Amino acid sequence: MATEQETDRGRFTITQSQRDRIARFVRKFRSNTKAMLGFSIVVMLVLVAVFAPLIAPYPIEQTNIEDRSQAPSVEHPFGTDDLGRDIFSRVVMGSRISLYVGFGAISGALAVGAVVGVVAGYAGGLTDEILMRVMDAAMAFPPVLLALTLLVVLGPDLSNVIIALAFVYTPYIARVSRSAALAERNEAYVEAAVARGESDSRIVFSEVFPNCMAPMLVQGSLNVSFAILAEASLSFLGLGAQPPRPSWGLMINTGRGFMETAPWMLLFPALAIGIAVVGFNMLGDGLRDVLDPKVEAIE
Amino acid sequence: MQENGKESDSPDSTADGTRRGRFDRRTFLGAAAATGAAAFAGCTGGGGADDGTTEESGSSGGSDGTESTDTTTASGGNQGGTLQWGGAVPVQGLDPHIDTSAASKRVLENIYEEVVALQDDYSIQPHLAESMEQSDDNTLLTFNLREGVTFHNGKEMTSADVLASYERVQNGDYLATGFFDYVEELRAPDDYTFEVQLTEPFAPFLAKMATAELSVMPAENAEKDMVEEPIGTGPYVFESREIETSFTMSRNEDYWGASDEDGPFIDTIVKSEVPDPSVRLQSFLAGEYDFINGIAPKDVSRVEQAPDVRFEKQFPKSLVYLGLNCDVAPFDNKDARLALDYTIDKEKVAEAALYGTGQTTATPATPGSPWVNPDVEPRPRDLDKAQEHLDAAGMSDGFTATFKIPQSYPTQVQAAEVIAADAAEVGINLEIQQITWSTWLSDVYSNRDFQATTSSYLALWYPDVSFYKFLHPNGAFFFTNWVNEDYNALVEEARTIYDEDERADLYHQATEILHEDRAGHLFLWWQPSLYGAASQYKGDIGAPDGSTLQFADNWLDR
Repeated sequence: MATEQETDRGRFTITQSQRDRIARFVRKFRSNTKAMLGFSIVVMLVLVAVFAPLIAPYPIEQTNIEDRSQAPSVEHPFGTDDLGRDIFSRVVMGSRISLYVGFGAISGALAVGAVVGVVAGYAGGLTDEILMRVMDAAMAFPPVLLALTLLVVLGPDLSNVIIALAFVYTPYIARVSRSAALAERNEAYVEAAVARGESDSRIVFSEVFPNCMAPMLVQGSLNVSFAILAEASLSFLGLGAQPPRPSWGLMINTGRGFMETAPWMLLFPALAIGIAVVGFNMLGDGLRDVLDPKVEAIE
Repeated sequence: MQENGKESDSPDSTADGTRRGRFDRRTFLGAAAATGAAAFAGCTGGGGADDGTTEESGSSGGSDGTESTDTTTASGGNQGGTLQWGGAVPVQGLDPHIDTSAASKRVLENIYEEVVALQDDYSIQPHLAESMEQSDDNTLLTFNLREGVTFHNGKEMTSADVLASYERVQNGDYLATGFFDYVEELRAPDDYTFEVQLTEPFAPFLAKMATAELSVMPAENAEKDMVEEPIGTGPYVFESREIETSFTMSRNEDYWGASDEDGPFIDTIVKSEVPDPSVRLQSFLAGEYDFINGIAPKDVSRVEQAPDVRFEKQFPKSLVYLGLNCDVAPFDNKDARLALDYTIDKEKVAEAALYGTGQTTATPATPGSPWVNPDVEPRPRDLDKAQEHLDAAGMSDGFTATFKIPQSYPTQVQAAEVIAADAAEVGINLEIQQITWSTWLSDVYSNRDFQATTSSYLALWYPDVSFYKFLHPNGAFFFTNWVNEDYNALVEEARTIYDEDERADLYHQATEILHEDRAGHLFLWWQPSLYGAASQYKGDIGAPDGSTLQFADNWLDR
């Protein structure tokens, strides 16, 4: 855990103890199968998304009725859809949408939720009460339902999906950040900072905040998988990505009608969602194991 | 899927007399009736029955052009049984003068009846009337009503009920109210005579009389603003309904037209609301339902191959179009509309959505009818011409427009994807936005807040519906803001003309204007009604208008 000394002089140079901590983190991370597996999946996904146009063998929007609903083959490893488009290409390009929404929404949620949570946790009292009751109220709605409602108001569009999901996941981040901040508030380094006469905002953002990052990171990476799933659900319901964009959820929606005659239309996008969700979940779980101070203590 | 509201309009009218001669089960009497009908002949439109495209509509009693081979006529059916019907779209309102939804019309068609009725050959025959006459100047319609017709509440129907039903529509704000602009007076001189005095010859009125928009209801119900519990004279009696779940009607024991040949046979008809087409088809193939409507075109081959299943199709059912708002950019520019037209490969679009079950068109007139202008065809895809028109429109690099598609119509979503991909090749960027049907009705239709959209119309068997209702600024369904004075003059004149050739000529000219001026309705295709029935379900499925259902002559053989 950080000490006052470190934070005071270690802002720009990496101290020996920090280097040790990073090395320890990497060592533990690498020995944690779950974390490594999740990490590899996520890295793979990101690579696929970044290089999607190079990987996808066919254009994804041009329809070709003669080749509709073809079973997987060498030419079309995942088959073709009802309009003759190559499903492999669409699934590959679809990873961009999923990651864009997953990272976008959770970055938004982190930006707002972390500040709210840390401020609430550090300030306590009435500020804490007000902020957290608002968060509780937002959490009282089932996530997808709330996102649906927001989208009906905002209009169906991918960027609106990000806004809606960021809103939906903000309270989850805020809660975790608050409990972390609560724990940090009573640490000696905070008392020292107060004694030094540092301003509240400086204490919150420079002292407490960096020390709450670990649980936020864990929660964030878990929530990325929920956000990916939520995007798929919303697109499935027609409120997310609009055709002809190759959103996995949208592809499943279309494929559902062809379950009997062309099951591959459903199968591959569903697999892709499954892999992405499992990847981020394992990464989140693994990170928690690695970062958990209790585990550290046992070690 | 389809047919929630708008498209459900039932048509104004009838077919014409070209094929009269077939005096079928609901025979009407004698010479007077025949001359009456002859006089109506001109007014009544259709007549397309001889043409192969409308599939033997004139054939044996009650055949609606269904393709079934194992059923011929509905004679001698077994009485009794319960028909389990897996329905596509939930029943909406139950007031026939108000509700536009085809789903409602499909059940109300069996509960309510009209003074006159549309026949399979698109002619109009007296129905609740025994006979009808029309004065030589086409302005006085006289109907001699049947005696002994009772409503479901046990009361006998008299001219007072008919008069009350018509006056309700005339004096209120109902679907057919606009048609009473041409009505000078409605009279009921005695209990079984009903007269309509028109101010001038107005061909569509009789046709409108054959639709649910002028159904006959008891006088006491006609006083209500909205009927919640339907009481009619038809072969089936409303029993109960659970909104969005089921709708039940039972056989009318006292039906005036009951016979051993024409039914009604089935005791109870239970419609379960199963909006999801895959679920509906699955349940049907698993034997849960005797009958389903609204089979998705992509599933046709599965139904055809399934054992012990009747596949029925009735053509045409609806006209699907691309709607362009001619009041806002970019489609207020005729060249922009033409540019888009030239980018669309209509055959490919229809094939993508309909799997070969439909046909493309450049006219709203029913395929095979005399109103079809044979010289006008859909524009072929031609990207050079598209670019020329883009240049002429001052948008050489193309343009962007939102494309609002009702998501409950998967065929239209498929079509939209093909259209958008093709249009993108010349820089016309159509951004698809899937919307719900209620949003379509409120935003696109009522508020006209759209640039491009798709939707469909049902039951266009009468040309006045095809050419006036959604293309003339005074039409009930006008919403694409395309106005052309020459066109309006032609279709207005056509309403007063009873001679088929003369009238057809006007509609042919009107079609040319639609095409040359690239009207706000860019017609994509005609599509059929697709039904699946268990093999023990006998009789001809469907109704003459192509989109509703008449169960009276159907029976269950088990």
